[in-house]
Amino acid sequence: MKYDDGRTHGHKTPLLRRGILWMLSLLLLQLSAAKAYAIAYCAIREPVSVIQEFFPTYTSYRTLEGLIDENVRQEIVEVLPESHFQEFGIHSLYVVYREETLIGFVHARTEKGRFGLDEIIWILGSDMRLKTFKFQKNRSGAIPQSMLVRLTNMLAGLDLIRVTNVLRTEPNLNQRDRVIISSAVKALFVTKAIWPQTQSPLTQSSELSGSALSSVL
Amino acid sequence: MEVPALLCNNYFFNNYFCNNYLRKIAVLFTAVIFWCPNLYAVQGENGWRNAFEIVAGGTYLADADADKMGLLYTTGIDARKVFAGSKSNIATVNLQLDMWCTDNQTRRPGFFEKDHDCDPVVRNAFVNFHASGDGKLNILLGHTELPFGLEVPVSTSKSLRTLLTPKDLAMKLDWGVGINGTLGKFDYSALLSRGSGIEYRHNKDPWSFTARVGHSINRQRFLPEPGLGLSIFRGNVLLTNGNISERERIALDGVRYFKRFGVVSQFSFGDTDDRETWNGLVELNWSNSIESAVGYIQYKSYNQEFLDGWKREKSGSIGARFGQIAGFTWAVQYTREFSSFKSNGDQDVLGFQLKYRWE
Repeated sequence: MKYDDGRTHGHKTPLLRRGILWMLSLLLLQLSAAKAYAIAYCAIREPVSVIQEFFPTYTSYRTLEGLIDENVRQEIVEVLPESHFQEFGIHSLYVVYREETLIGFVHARTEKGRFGLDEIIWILGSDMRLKTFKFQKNRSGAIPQSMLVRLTNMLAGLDLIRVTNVLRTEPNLNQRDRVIISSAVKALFVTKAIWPQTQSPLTQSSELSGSALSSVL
Repeated sequence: MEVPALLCNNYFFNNYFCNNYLRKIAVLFTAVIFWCPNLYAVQGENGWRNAFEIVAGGTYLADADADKMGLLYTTGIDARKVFAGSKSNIATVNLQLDMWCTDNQTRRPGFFEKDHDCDPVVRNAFVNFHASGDGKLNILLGHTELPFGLEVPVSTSKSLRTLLTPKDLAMKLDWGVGINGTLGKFDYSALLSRGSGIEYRHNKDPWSFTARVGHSINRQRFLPEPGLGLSIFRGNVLLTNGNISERERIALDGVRYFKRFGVVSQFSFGDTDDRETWNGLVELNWSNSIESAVGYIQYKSYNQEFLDGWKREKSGSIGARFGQIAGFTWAVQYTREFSSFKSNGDQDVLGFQLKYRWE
């Protein structure tokens, strides 16, 4: 085979080149843990629209990044076995301020929906208790307003222990209720586990480990 | 005698390391291998998100006379960091540095000079300064995707599935400066850029202006969040053949879901070098409940009014993408090109791709 620059190579050379490329690629694979999203980072945006909707008096927000490692993953799987692989990786928490005052948190969770992936944005108060939620992407069918109101009223003001208790004790939960409440549990648990610096003294007093959470359930 | 020249007299080095193609690969991988553990360590310490990607893909042109099979290998680094102050974000940095190698591709990116070639590629490399601190006004500087049409909500980064934009604007990435932000339910973005595409070139003084307003989205996805967008484009674009193409466009794009099915569409209207132009894309897709298996059919239509009347370029595609294993995706696509501006013959194109991304 002759190249434009005049060099020639035997027939095996392109195969060797590809072999070298793949060997080096495999070597790279070995150098890193295989935990991945298949989403490019240019893709990540911030839920500013939701912040503006639920914190209309906010003046700024700050992004915190945290890594869900094997330990956190294992604890989530113990209590919520339906969690899927995308729980791995780096997640973001958005801390919302009005001037110098912290007024709340926003955390987005991607959940397995009925017909595709749902993206639920959880809005937390400054005390790390749930305020409300919003579907940014909903592939499970429209949510009736009555269901939205019922779930919001059921979850508003609850901390992690109380939300897990709702999941365990509430008798009239349908499948979709359970998916949404499980998402709330994950949002609160992940937030506590990987951003402990955000916990107020009030929430720290009821801090919960994965095993403790298991015992609640 | 200089050491490199001495080494190149050796048979092994002459064959495998004095070849420009291999030298680029070797340099890249050596750099990445040394850099990779450091990046990984740094990620844990100061919030850099780092990922590494390897992609191998091929296309088979069923009706071409020769060189039917072509391959493209890419590997690269995707790094992102949000620099934050005590109460607000200061800036977001995104760096995507790749090495791309082509092997006998009939249709290959314009920056490749030979049938067998490797080139470093800068994809996104930008800083987005959070000027207002509340997300309403950011100032972007660097190399970025043009904010036009479906490329904003849909992530087609290194995927077989493509959406119409390159045919409209003749480029996907460009160097420039812009503003972006979120106002209520809508995101806006505007970019004034060089107009030379993926490579910075300034001969013949190209330029472009692109802007889009659309429903606010939380992130780009292969199957994006539903919504509508309105885009405009104007520019003198420097094509890979060195010519300037004067283009204007206005485009409407939309995404909607019906249970397991999604409809993605984009229609653009305008001028290409004073020729009236309209282009359209409609896609129907299907996915499983975690979107790890996605199938789609697409119809694309490109239309321009030449001196001897309207000419049309039409194609239909059917494809699938699978990602059951974390980080690993593979995809296949069959396209029939019914006609083009240059010929009336049909062309069948088979494509496949393997991709691994890990962080």
